[in-house]
Amino acid sequence: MRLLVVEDDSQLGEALMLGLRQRGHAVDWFRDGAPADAALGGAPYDAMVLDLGLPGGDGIVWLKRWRGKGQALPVLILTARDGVRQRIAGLDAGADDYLIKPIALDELAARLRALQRRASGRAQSVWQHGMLEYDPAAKQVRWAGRVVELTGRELALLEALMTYPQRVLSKELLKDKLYDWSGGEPEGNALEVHIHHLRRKLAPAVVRTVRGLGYALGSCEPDSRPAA
Amino acid sequence: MSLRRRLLLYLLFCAPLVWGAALWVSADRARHEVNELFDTQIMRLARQVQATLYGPHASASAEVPAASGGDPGEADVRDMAVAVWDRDGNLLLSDREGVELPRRAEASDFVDLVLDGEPWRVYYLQSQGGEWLVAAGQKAEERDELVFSLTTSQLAPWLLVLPVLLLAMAWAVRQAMAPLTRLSAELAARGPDELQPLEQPRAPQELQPLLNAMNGLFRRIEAMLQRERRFTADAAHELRTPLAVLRAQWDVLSRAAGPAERAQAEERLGAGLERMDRLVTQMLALARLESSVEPARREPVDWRRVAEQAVGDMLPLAERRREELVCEWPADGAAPLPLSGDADLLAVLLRNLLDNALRYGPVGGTVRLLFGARELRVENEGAPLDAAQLARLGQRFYRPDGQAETGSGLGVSIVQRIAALHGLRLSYSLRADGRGTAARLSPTG
Repeated sequence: MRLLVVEDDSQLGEALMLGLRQRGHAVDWFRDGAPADAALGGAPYDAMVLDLGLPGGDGIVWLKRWRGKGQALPVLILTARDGVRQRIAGLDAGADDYLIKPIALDELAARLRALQRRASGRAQSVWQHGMLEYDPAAKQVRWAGRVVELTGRELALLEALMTYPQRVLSKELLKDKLYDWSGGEPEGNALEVHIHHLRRKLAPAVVRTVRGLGYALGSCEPDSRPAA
Repeated sequence: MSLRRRLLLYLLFCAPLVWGAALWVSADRARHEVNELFDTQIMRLARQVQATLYGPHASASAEVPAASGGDPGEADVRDMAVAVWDRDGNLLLSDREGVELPRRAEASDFVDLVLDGEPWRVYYLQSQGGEWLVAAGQKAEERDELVFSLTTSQLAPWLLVLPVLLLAMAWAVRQAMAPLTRLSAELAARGPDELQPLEQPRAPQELQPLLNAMNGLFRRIEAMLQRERRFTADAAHELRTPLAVLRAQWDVLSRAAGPAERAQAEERLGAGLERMDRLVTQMLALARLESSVEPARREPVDWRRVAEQAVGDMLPLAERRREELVCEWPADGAAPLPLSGDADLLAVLLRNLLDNALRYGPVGGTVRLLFGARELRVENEGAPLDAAQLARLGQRFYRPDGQAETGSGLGVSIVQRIAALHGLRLSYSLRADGRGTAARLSPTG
């Protein structure tokens, strides 16, 4: 997932960013609403973690503004404000979840997965596509019931493809899903390398190339993998 | 002893005393009246006897016959006696009791005698020519009886109504005490957090000062409780973020892949712990300060030692931020801000002032600690605070927006509290040359 973290506390923001990256997500961290607002237009985020007490205006105000503009991104509020009324106000402002500090990073990650699952219209926690099974919580991929070891980027790529099984995803979009803005521009053919690895480890047909447009999730039927 | 019992005791003690006095007065009056009455009678008797003596010359040694036979009514004739003597002292006339009256040639008025062991009152009357001496007497006992019966007849109804009176007194005392009883019942029924004012519109005037005082106390306790509650709520709120930091940092550390990443994560966790440590230390310091009314010690303050201690503690921070720490003393060698107080607390105060000045001054700047004869200033070269920020400075946990440095938001509260304990006032202003902020401590007076 590509995640947007808005947290003004430097220590907490950094720790959240690092912890979520360790879990295989691409994370951008901003300390105020304005840069986050700018970033929203610049990358295809899957979810946002939003603090409320921000220096340049309350998180609730930003959230209402975004929702008013039709921004549908799943938003999880992470705050120290623990009052019932504050929680209600947060959810009514358009938040999809409301967490009170302190939290375990595992729980935060699980809630973000749940948000993503709901946003993509799935009910099952294990994503299935033909022979292909993906468990985002365990970061585990099975092909025909057999566990296949994938690297973090490969997992993220597969997750991006499986999120929109019926859509062709451009190279730029896929790159944005894989890489946050921390490491500079990825190398030119890095995406192709990851796609190559996916095809080799799973099945050649699992990623379909649509010339001139990008990539899409391919057929994952038993016959799509040639008998070894 | 309960107020009611005390009141009842006073009443029980005083009422008989007053009654006794009243009784004594009335007995005395009765005796006076009785004496007057009987004395008049005796005197009249003596005069009548004398008057009759002038008439037919009575025969000598005649005896007045006792009124015998017939119903004497309630009269007691033997209590009276009459005797008449001639010039030579011969008893001319007497009744039965009169025989015993002594002749007193020289007497001519009332005389109290004792005859046969009984007190008598006798009136002697000399005739004009001195031919006769008439004596008329009466047993004093008669009078005593009359006084006694008069007095007891007054006393009896009093004694009879005494129980009624006691009951009435008990009832009255209870009634008078009812507002107190109601008050104590209301107070007893209250929970520890029910501090609404006592409302007793019908309470007697004597209770009003007490009620007012108690309501005042309730208000003060309520205000204190509210401060405590707010502090606890604020503290709980303020602890959440550092706790979240620690959890997240610990999580990152536990998942660190290589030694380099691990070392970095450890360093971050260390910083998170330091922050938590600072916050909790400051919170406890403030909580302790809030509950104290007086500094633990009052000794003349050696500012040089206090300054050395505080500046020494701040050196690492100054070094990290590459800031210069300068201490200046009064130029003319005057004693810097004479004060008696707790040197340890004042070191905490200085440390907090310096800490703020260093943290919120520019990197590479200078922080000055200036001692004057009547003030103490800490100046940095930080951007001046605007009015809104100045107004909120000193609110617990308030930190101006956009701080790169971590802080508890309690430093100024702590400084203000310690300053107040020492009769000092903290004020912030623009530095004299306009290129920085100055914190100034000066005596309140």
